[in-house]
Amino acid sequence: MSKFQKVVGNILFGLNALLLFFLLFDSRMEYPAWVQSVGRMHPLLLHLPIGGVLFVFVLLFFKNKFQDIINGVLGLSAVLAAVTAIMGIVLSKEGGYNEDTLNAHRLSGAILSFVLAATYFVSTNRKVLNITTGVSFVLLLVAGHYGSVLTHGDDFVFGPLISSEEHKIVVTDSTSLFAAAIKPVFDTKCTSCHNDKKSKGGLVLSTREGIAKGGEHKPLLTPSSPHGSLLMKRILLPEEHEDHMPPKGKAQLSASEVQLLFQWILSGADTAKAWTRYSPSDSVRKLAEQVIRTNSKTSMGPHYTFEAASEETIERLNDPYLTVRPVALGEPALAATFFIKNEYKPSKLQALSAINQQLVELNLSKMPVTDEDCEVIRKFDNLEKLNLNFSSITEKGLQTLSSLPELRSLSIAGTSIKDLNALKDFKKLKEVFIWNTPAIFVDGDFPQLVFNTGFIPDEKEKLRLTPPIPSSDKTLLDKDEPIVLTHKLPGTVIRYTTDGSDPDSTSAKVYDAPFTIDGYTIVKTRACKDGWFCSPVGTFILYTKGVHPLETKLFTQPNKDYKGEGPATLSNDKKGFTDDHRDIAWIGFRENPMSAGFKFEKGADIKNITLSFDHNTYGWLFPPAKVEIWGGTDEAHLSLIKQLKPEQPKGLQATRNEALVIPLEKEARGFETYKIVAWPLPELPKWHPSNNPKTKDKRAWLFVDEIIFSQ
Amino acid sequence: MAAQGKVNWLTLSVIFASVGTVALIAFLLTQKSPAAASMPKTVDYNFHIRPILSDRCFKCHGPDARQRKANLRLDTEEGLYAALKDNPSEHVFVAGDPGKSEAFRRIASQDTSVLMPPPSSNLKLSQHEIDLIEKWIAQGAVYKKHWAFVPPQETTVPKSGSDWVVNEIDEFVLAQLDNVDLEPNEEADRERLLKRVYLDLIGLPPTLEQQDAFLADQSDNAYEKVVDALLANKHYGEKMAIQWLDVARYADTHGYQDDGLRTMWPWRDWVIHAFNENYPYDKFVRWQLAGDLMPDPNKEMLLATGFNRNHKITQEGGVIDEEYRIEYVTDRTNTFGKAFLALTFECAKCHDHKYDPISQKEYFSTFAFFNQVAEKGYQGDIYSGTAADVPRISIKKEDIEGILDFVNKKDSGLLNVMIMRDSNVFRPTHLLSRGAYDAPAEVVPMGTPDRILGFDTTQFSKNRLGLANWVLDETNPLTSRVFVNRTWEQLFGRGIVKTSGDFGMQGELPSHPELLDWLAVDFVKNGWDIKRLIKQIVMSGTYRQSSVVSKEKLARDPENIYLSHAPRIRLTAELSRDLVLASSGELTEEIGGPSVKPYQPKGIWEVATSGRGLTRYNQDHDDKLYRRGLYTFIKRTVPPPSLLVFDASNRDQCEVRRLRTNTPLQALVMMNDPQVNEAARVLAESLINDEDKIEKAFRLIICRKASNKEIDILSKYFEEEKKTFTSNVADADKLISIGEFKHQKIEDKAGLAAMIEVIMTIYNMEEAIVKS
Amino acid sequence: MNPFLENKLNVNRRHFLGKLSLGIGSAALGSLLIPDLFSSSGDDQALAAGLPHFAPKAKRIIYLHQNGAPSQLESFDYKPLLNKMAGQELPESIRNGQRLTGMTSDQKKFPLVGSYFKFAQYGKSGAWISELFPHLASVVDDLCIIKTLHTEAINHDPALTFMQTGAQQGNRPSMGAWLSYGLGSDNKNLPAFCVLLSRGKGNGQGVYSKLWTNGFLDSIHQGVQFSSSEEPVLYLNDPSGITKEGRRKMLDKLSELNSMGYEEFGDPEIQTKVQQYEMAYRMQTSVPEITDLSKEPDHIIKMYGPDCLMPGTYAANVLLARKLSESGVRFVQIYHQGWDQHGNLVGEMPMQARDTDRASAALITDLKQRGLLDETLVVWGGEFGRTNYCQGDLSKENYGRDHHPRCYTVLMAGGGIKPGIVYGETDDFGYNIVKDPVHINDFHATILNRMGLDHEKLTFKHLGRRYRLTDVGGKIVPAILA
Repeated sequence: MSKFQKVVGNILFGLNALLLFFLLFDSRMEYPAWVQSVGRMHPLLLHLPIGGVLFVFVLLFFKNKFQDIINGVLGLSAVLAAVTAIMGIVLSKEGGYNEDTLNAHRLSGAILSFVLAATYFVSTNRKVLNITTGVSFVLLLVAGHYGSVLTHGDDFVFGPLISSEEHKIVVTDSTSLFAAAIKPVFDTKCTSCHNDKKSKGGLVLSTREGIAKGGEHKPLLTPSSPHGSLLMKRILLPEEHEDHMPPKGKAQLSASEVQLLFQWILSGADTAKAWTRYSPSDSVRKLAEQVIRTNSKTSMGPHYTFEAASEETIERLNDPYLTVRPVALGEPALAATFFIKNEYKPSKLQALSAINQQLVELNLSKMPVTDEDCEVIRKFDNLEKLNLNFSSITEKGLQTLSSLPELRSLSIAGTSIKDLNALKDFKKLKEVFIWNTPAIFVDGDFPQLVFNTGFIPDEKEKLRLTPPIPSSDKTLLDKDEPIVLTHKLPGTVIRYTTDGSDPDSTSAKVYDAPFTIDGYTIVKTRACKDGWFCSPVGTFILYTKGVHPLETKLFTQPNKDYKGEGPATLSNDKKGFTDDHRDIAWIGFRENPMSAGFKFEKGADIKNITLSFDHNTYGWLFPPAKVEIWGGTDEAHLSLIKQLKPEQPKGLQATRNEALVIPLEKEARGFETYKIVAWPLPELPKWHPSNNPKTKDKRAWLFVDEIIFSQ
Repeated sequence: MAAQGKVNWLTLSVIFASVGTVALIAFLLTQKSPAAASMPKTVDYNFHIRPILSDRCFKCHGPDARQRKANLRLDTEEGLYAALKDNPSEHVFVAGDPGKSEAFRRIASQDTSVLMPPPSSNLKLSQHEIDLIEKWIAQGAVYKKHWAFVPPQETTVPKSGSDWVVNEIDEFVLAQLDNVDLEPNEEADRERLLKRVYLDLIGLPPTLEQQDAFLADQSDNAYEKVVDALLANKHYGEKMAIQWLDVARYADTHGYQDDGLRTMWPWRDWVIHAFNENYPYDKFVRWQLAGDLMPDPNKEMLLATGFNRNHKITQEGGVIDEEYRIEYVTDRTNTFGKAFLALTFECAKCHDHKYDPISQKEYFSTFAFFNQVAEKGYQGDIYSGTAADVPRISIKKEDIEGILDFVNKKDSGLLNVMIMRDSNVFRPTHLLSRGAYDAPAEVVPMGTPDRILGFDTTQFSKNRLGLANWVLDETNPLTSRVFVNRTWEQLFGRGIVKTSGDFGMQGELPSHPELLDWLAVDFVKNGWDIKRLIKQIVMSGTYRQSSVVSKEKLARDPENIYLSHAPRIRLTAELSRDLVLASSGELTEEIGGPSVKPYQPKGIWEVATSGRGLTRYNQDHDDKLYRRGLYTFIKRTVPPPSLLVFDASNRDQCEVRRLRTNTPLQALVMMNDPQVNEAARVLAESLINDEDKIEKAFRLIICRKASNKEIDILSKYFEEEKKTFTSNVADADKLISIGEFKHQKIEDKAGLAAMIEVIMTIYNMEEAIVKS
Repeated sequence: MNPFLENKLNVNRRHFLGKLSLGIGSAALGSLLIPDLFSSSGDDQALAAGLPHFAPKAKRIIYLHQNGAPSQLESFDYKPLLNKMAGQELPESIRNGQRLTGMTSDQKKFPLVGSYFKFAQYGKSGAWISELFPHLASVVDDLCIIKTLHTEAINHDPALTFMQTGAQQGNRPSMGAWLSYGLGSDNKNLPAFCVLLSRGKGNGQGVYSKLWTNGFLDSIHQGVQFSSSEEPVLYLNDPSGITKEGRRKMLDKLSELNSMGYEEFGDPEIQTKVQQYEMAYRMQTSVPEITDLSKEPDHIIKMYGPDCLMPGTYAANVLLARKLSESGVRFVQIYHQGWDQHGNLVGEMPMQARDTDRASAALITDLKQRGLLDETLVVWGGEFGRTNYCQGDLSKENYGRDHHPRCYTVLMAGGGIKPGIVYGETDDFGYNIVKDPVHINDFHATILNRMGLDHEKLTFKHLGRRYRLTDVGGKIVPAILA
């Protein structure tokens, strides 16, 4: 260990001890003025240890070399680091810094100093040295970052990466000139030091209040007197002057910005007045408008300089299937869109040559545009956006278009284009949409382009088809009315049954043409297609109309809330909706059985009777407990010809409109008058969730919408 | 390239040519165009200046104290000549000296920093307006009270001695026409006149017999006889009611969210009754506003008050009772202002009115009259709610047989109707800051806008009856004018005051102020007799002139403000339907009763419903399918599409004037609505075996004899179509099977189908559903 | 520019000038002829032109309204604290005087409840999205998630009306009507404003035609109801028995007859009527081509999900919406009912999500791959939020949430809106906004701005007052603009 090293070691020890002391008792200390100026050398000095550490860091990559140099540089850096740290602490006493950031900086700085010292002492052992140097390098970054935040404000380092929306503002006619033009200047050039976090000189320029309030040497502004205003004074001082703002080394105001502030104060430094309320001749407004143009994201979109086309031309070009309109009020630029394939004619495209200078957007999506047509399109000198989706153009056409000087966005989705090489020749092209094309390209082929290849279906994912649907939602069909089944997805195979069984995907009858049914029928359907799971079974309960009775009567009263349309309800060809019992298509019985009489012409040969009811176990709507069919010449002379006890559901079931088909034997067919009596279920079945001690009235309901007599 | 060049030259020359012609036309027109263009000899404050100030200045320098800038107000006489706040030596307007008038300097300035209105307000004055103001100042800047707030004076009828004149109305109109150097049209041909007056008075086209009778009647008073007959016709009340139902925002459901059924139709039947019985307008209004407060009111008077219960009522679970009660009272107050006074009261709820002299305090003073009803904001949801919330009356059998015999009640069921009844305990009314129900401020007394007509409590009782009497007081400047104007609008398609819903500062000015006042005074003098008023108008030569419009008239007076010809007006939604049903012979002539549900494209209710309330549209059948348009069931949240497409009101709020548009959707309805196609079928069936079936169909629908050319076109069409259908009977079968109306057995299916198409074509002629 | 706007029957002066149809010339002529025509501020001319005030970022809007108010707490506003504090009372300091609906105002306790569904972070922005919306999560980098919309209304009807028309009460024109009025339709054969309705399995709240009313604007601006059923537009289909040729022939006869009428009366409206019939005929021919699903390739069906094959489903409507929008319809409004989970939220919300998630995400991907996303603004959201406390019984397996006006989440994508960001912050209780609130007026102002319209200039004078969609408010939200 050389003498030099000893000395350095002691100095290091002393300095760091001192540093520690400062760190702990800083709050209690007062400094003489001269120390302050020492403190102010912190920003100057700090760069030396940084350099040192980096140097060492580099040297360490040379295994077991330059040991002496490393020792020397390390020592020096460690000492300087300690000194810098102490100075920093002194400087911090001047205040105007954000506490948290400051503490972070102070601490990381101090630790850095300690670690460097430590490093120096172990510097002979390379292994340890590598580690500690690494650590101090990291510390360096941390301390450096917080330092920069203190002096340059948040995100000084990463700011450029984070988008600067905050500075952008939307300007409408009623936006104040201040918000539109002045504030942005402050935000970009001043608020890094004069914000609510860090208010150098107690001045906050990020808010109206702060500006009004001014700083320690308030007031900041003297309206209408720029030279009298502190703000201008400081800005106009020579840059070398220590009071000049922004301080030397920080981003300076541009000449026009200075002018703007000057004129703004001259015009009264109003923070509320809308920019449009300043006279256009007013220089402050002139200057402001420049700023607005650059900052504002709206109001003033792209401004095209070329000549406008005449209204006559535009009107002449427009027709029901071609729309040509300016992109905005007072803009010469035009956008054109074609509609309806069959109405497209190349001549119509040709006609657009009349506006070949003004056309900036052209939408030919789905139009049968050919490569020849591209010869016309290429002449649109200012075309920026072109949509050729699902058109008939090929590589050849693409090549032709490549000469479009201004084209930025091109959509060729759904075309047959495979080879994209022509894209290399486009000058300003940025984005290309090639979804649904055979085109293939290798990443990096077109560095300047962004491709959208769109949605690629996951081959593994198999989805379930939806069941086929009848083309009509009628459930009560005329005799021999054909039933048409449809499925929106082309290429599906539809299978169906009419016997109530579930159609399987292989053996059940394939639907190839409309079919008919005779009477109450449950049609079940299923759709299948390759690449899809077969659909669930679709069930459709259908009826066919029968003979209308000459007269329909009710011998018993329905429930008072569900009278439907009276007796007529039973034979008015109106089917009810299972979810809507108030629908007058329904007639509901609970207290009484339904007893209805029907009169027919002589010799009406009734083969069967279909009693259609609502099967809704959740809603207490059950099949009738018992049904009696009476027949005779008239009401007075009826005899019981049939009686049955329909099967009751064994548990909750899907709600449906269901029917009881009661065939009549030969001898029972000839009557002129029939009476049908149907009893509602007197009590909910045991299994029914509502059948518990709590329910007082457990009588179920019978809801009938139609009784059909078929010959 | 050369070719290109040529083309460009061509277009260029075309452009030059056209621009040239425009310039020429413009030149010619200004030489001879209505008073409008040229600078008036004397500039009138009411007619030229206030409209400008009101529209462009009052927002910040008007009645609204809170919004007032620079403590400067231009809506009062004082304000106009006041000295400036910050510079007392300067004045707003200085009579005779535009240069000294600060206001003028500001509006005339080129410097946007001083310019008024400020650019940021998006408002500006045209040079013409600036010149007007300058001239007005030069002429002494004379202020006048807003015309509509000065009671109408009996005006002297001009005497022209022209034999075109039938009655006083024509004198006024002719005088105006002279001013603008236009000639009136001669009387319309009899057929068109007949159709016009039929549609205007009963809303139905004349039958063949009625047409023939009128054409045959050569007596001088033939037309008058028709007018008298129509005024006595039972359908007159229906026609008149349609407009009033808009004003009263009548509907068959409650209007919010679940939108349950309500039974206000007996009130609708009363309106028809009142018009048919020709109740004087004062009685008509007094009963509706305060029938319940009149000495021992009978059930009819109570029923009439249903007017104020037609507003929407919420059934949405979880609403705050008071919020909606306030909403209802607000609706009544706004409706009151618009319906009887043509004032935009609603603008004064949250702050003083920006244009008219209605302070927020005065708004709530009027609000107070309607704030006494014994009602709740939330009566219950769709399940617990009723079709008629309290207060209500039950209409019993004896009522139907007695005093309410006009109520068309068929079934024996219970029938409740909402009416007005004030609660026994007086409810003090607070001014609501920002109009918010939960921000009550000081209590306000009952009253009305003072600068229109103060509410003198020594003269008027402090309740709705007092308010009704205030409305009908002969010193009230608005009531009679407003109604007369609206009646005029019904007949001419455009009011003497175009903005029939706004007589305030922002409203348009009367095109014939003297005429308006004369009619208004005459109307009151003759006991508010509505039928008399209508007869007066339809008898006038102005009404009877033909609707032919020459190129020149069209160019000089495109809106026909000066009535140099009769207007051509598309029928309202309801009347278009009525014309179709009446001409086809399907129409059910029954008056009143519960609203009906005719054909409607399927799924419209179903897809919009919450699953509660009227979830499904259960279409009616038989004669209910063929009722007049005003009986169509209006579910507020899903109004009948075919009516809405034709600009019918959705009955959400009081509406005094419908728009009149012409859209492709209307064409679709006329071509494809089964109601129209069925009508064509029914008419075709009844005419198919008739010799001159096409002539008859044409006369039934268009109400005039077709020209030979028209007959040629249609007969040729018929023959062609008949051929097509003969070769394609399947299509014919489909076409002739449309609709539920009883089908007649017709052998010649192809012929029938062809005839249906011919009639559909006639129904779709522009002239069919146009009153010309 | 757009006949739907031009051919109006009510002859007003502007219309009359329109007939003369020569921009510069007419101004001069007009002011000579009718002095007060051009006096009433700039907006009239703007309408006459039917053009944006400035170059728009978005040309069209597809608005996917989730009717009934989906809970932000189970979708896009992740609040783990609520799970930690589940069952505890909502602190009064947080509720801070918020008025309650009648449904919970008499509730004794307000127990907080956290999301039953898991959340994970997605995309560049690391946005938290619940497991109920996997597909929307997959396109999160295209989404702008706004967590801080807020409203005053606490009930569906006023809230919906507010969201759609800018006012809780009154018969005001809806957003789509304003855009139709301001911009018209690009495709002259279609209305500018189309409406599509569907209903999920959840608790529905209904929709009302006043939500797509033209209010005081011409009825030409009224939303036209489309459906994915066999009749896409009301009264579009010819009566059975009448062929296309037959219809064409009838129209020819008609114009022959009408032109005779014109010769007699000289009323320009007669010609207008003829044009209207022609346009109706064009609608009859073009709409079926546009609404036809059969041309859609399998993988598009896969993308939107097989439901899109069922007419009237949300998926079918979203697919139809894309086709309409692609065909130049300015504003397609979709309403999907069923998001009102006062109870059984755990049962119903997954069903609602399943019905909507896939198609909503597909729409964005589909527009994107066609190069249309940057000119089409897509919006997804309800009319207000839901409370962070339970309505009704709170159990481990199930709970409900009442209406909450103070904050709710809306998604935006494309059309000049910044993708892949989350805007605004709510407090840890998901009850109040702590950063960047967006009022409905601001929301409207921003949408109009993207469409190239200045919300302060798009006005209509009715009964003496100039109305705006943003009423008297509205501040554009710069931070979400691309």
